[in-house]
Amino acid sequence: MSGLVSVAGGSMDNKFPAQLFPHFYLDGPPDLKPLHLYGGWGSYGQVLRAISKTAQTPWEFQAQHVAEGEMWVPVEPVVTPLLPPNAAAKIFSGPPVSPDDFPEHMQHFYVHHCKDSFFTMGQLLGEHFNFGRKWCKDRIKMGRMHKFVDCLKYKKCELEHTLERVPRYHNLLKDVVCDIPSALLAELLHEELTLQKDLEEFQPSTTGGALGYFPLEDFEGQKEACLVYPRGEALDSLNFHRVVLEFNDGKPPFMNMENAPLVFKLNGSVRQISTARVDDEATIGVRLDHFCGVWMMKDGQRPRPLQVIQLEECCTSISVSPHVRAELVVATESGAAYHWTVGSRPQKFRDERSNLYFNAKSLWRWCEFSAHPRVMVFADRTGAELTDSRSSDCSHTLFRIGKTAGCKSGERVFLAKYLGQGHAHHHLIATQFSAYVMDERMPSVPALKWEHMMESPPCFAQIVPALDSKGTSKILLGAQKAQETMLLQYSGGREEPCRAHGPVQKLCSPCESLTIRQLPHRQHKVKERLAVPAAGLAAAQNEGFLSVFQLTGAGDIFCQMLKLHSDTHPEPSRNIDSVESLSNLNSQSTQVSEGQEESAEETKKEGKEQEVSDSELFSDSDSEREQYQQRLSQVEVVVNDERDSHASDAEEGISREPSSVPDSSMRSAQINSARPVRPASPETASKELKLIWKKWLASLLVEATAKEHCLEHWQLRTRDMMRFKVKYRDRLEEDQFLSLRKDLTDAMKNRQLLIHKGTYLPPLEVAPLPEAVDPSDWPDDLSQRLTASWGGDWSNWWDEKLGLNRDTKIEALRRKRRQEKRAKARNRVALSGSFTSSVSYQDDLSGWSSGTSQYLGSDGESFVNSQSAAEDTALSEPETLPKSPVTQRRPTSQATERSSPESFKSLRSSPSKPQEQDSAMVISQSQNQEQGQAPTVETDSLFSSSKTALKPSLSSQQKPKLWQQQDYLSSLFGSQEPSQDPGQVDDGSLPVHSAAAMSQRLGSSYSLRRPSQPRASSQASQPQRKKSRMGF
Amino acid sequence: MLHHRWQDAAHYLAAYSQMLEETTAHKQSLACEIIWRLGTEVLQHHPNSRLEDFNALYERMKNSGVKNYAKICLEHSFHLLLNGNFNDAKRQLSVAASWRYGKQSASQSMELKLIHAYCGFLDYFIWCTKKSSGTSSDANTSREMHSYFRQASVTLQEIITQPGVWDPFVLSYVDMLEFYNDQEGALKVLQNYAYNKDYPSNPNAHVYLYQFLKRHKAPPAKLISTLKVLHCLVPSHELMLEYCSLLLKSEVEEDMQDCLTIAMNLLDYPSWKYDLNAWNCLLKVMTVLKKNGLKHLIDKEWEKRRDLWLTMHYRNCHGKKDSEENAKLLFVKAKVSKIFGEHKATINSLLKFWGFSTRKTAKRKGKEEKGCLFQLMIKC
Repeated sequence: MSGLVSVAGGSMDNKFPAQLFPHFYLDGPPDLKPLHLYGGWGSYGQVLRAISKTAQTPWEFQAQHVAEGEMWVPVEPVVTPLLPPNAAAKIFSGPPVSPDDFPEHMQHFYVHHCKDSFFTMGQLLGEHFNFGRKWCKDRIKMGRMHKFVDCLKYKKCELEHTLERVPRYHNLLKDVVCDIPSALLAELLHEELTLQKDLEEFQPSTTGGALGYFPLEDFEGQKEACLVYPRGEALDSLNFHRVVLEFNDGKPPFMNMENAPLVFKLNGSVRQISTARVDDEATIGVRLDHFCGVWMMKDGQRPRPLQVIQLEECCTSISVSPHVRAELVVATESGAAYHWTVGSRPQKFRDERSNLYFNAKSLWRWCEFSAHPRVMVFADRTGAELTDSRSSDCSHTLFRIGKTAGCKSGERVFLAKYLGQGHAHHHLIATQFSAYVMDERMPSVPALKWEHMMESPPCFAQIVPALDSKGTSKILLGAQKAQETMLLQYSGGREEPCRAHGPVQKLCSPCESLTIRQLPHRQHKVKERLAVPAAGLAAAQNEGFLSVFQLTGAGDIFCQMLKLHSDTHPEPSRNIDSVESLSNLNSQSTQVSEGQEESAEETKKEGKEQEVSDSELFSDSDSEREQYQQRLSQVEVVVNDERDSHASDAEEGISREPSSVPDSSMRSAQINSARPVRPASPETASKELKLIWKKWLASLLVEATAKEHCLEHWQLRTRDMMRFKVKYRDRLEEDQFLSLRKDLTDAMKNRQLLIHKGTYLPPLEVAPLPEAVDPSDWPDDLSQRLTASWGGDWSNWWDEKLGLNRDTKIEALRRKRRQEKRAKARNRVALSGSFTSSVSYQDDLSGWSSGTSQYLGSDGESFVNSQSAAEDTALSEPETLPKSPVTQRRPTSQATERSSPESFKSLRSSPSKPQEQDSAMVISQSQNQEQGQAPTVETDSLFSSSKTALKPSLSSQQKPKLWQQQDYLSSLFGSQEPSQDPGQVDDGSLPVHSAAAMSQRLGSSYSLRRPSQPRASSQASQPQRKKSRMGF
Repeated sequence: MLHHRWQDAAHYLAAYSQMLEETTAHKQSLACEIIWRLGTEVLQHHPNSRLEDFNALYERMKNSGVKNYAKICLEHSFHLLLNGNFNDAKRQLSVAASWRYGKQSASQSMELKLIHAYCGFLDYFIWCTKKSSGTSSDANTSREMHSYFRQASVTLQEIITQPGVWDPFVLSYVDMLEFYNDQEGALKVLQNYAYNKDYPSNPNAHVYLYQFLKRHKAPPAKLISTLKVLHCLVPSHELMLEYCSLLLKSEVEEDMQDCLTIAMNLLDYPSWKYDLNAWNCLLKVMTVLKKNGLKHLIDKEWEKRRDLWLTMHYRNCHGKKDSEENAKLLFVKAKVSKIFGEHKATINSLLKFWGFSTRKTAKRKGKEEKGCLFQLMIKC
């Protein structure tokens, strides 16, 4: 097939376009600054007149960048794993290497590679030390040190097990005992780690990619191809895998990977695989760091290794000749380039010690073949030259970083590739910003330039030749770090100048393909695995399908299919399917995720259901089903039964977030037929793919768990410590235990609860409830607050504490009290008129107190109502009054308790002058002060009397009373703030009124001592009696 | 956009246009360019986009970021050209050509030069239409034509003096000069374009010169010297066959030797590997050389290439392939190898397949080839 293409293209390739697009040719270094990554869009480049065969049309022009290209639409929204995960892959996860970590590395080296680090000195010193038990003459006994050295291998507490001698020996020998002086080692290590850190960003050595794919001759009607890839722990085993392509109408070709690969174990990591098919043989060149090897593969035969060369310098490039069999070109870091014909010594044809055009401080060199079998491309970071290998000094520039190519400052060449399959004279030069197609007949001026808009520099490239003269050649660019893959299309170079077709298209990459709904630690593992930098790229075109293979650094190979949509009217069936299935899939996946949380049984059931549906899926044709089964088995590692449990929770949601794209684009497709509408790429993965991924992940996770091992710890020997014998359980107990276990499993199966009653276990001891905490025992502020918050109205408490709700409360209470008063007034028959002077004052007070009572609870209400007059003063408390469950429970007793402190307070507070008073009250204040002195004495007496009187009833409540008192005091003396207690305001106005009012207050306190008396109003109306009380 | 989801991109872009409000001049101009590029791309893939939409976008972006004025003007006129609005494009270009904006326009000198050049290029097309439509007697049209010619020639001359690849401009300029019988001027332009060291080595420049010389019946020596330069640059060029035939006519020994080298150089390229004309040419050259008793030249060239040619042209598989696909080619190749004196090695390998191939091809292609092959066998 390739031969046919080359024949068809070959004769045409000799034509040079009659007209080229205009282009400036300038000398000098690039001066453009890289500003953004979007330069590749919306530009036509240049135009020239098209050579139209029909002369009637006035003038036709063609642009360098054509908006429309071939429409390659991915068949699936994600990549497909082609092979089971590389079991032996080692991923260095965790934080990136820091050069400052070198002590840790040194420690590891000393402890775990002691043979390397101490061997020489150990030999020399060995004869003076004796590690045995025996005592020898002239030798130092190191018996105990043995134990110490043993312990070093384990992770352990660093403070433990220091022997006295160790530091002493350390001080004595630390400079001597290492083979490599530690200072030197540290320096070198630091340097190396710095280098490693740079390599993490970009590895120049993997340029070119370690993945090869070439078609084999059709064998018995079967299309076959060979995939060459590295695998193993460090990608150090080379696999030749024969792939059988099976075609179904309208479906992407199926890659049958059934054949076992042929494996060659190599002496290092495979960095690059270069393949070329010449005539009837395929040549495979493999590059390791210091070795290069050649394999040849004839159709229908096993690949056979031919020759291996070893190079002193690190090898940076290998390229197999596409023209002559078994010829290669190899470049090394020193700048030497060799032309290597298999069977003979490589001939050095170029030795370039420095960089080509300017000093780029890079050792990367690259060699490729060109249209002439004896002329090679020699490239480094600054440009590329065409070198004739027959004469030593015949070379001219193919490409250089400069103004002519419109380079940006800082731009460097990262890849050069001969595009012989597409056009015999074309080369691809890729920099971190752009991709250039160079025609070697017209060097220095790029025939075509794209801005590829990749985030990381491309270092893999593949050319897929055009199918016919009208089609476009496809260039695939791949990057390491982000696994980006870009598809560029171009045409021309023969009769017409090169033109780019369509905008750059980004293909799926393994790392972004999955949104895996998994347990977090698994998800992390899978993510890590998929995000390993790419290591290779290959592509193949089969009957309107483009297969793109991607190799990651972990040795996993992924494949994606792109379908060519040639007709202007896309078939909408797939879109509709995807839209419809979207909801189903979503609902299904949510079901699954719910199922995970339920029980293992449930998930198992679902797994069965799913498999049933899978089998339904392929009921239409058996062959498809078979294929599908193969695909499944292909990505699966044969594992034990444990797999199932992993598979069940390895459910992944491949469905991307639903979007309205397919729907709307379809609509627009119906509206308009002038411009071909790009068929929307599928939004959700097909069920087959999902299952393939599931299997793949399952096998990946199984490996991961199998490999997982704990860090070694130093184990203490406990035999000496555990002297006692373990008693054997008696028979009955054993039976009980077994039956219990059985019950438990039964219960789990039936999804029931296992109740203690149903078992034969001894009855449970009833644990006594802890004693209820009495909040009143904890009088401090914090405890109160906690109690309040436990009761649920912490905010109220806090408001109260700060006095924020004072005004509203006052207002509410006043209103209520007024109503009550009014209601009472109707009841009051005779005495109401005699207290006219104090009514207003009473009102004030009552409003306040009733508010408090309301707050105290509904059962307190009746009490308040019944003897509201008496309570007026008694309950007019500052806001610090705790609102505790206790108070709610016993309103009556509380009222009695508070009577005494209240009376105390009301008198005591008068000397402390409230600051909020109006200016009108200033005069009265002085009176207040004068009067205030006298009652204090009385208060004391009153207080004591009340105390004695209350003693029997209060004996149980002594403590609350105490804290309440303290509280009052604190509130009183701490109340110099602007937020004043309303009680104090009232107190301030007290002396203005008659002494009767005063006495009334005191009388009320007296009256409270006898709550049994229902007629409080009558008491309040007896000033005489109160006065006598005062006297007492 | 990289995934070609234009609809989504358009939504995001609409939101991004807020960036134009950005006060930082740098960011604003950046946003401007991004919106222009992305917007154009989205429009190009919009199923219902009209020319008016494009015009609106171009006009707005042109004026919101002065830094890209010239570039956007150029792209705008390209867009108009590609969509058949020749006159609008011309108007755009002439407007842009007269644009002045202090420092800003100086920094865009390259774009402005291109604008001028394309302006002249379009003048040339107008000139062409006038030329084809206007009857020659019409003095009015010829005057008009002449004015267009002057306009175009000034601008084209200007761009051509700049080093670069100016194939369309040079061609149109030369076409006009030729029309006004300014052969010398045209030749000067072409020679400058081909031989000036400041210019990139453009094979087309030499091809144009060669074609011009050929058109004007230049002596073969001149043609040969032109092609000699071309051969140095592109040994695989199509014109090399013509070059060979030219050289063969001269009958000087040195030319003969060159001729052989050229023909063999051509066949060094795998792209000519299966080309019957090239092989025929080589065979012709070799037979002529052999006739003239210059066999040693052939041997000399052969020694240089023996290894390569044996692996590249004369392997078993090639014989097999040629016999299946192109028996004539096989015939010529065999003859060539015979002259090289490699008939023992190569013909034997070819013979291996003849039994196979003669049977097969005889059925397919008839007696002619069969006879041909047998004839060859006898000759060998």
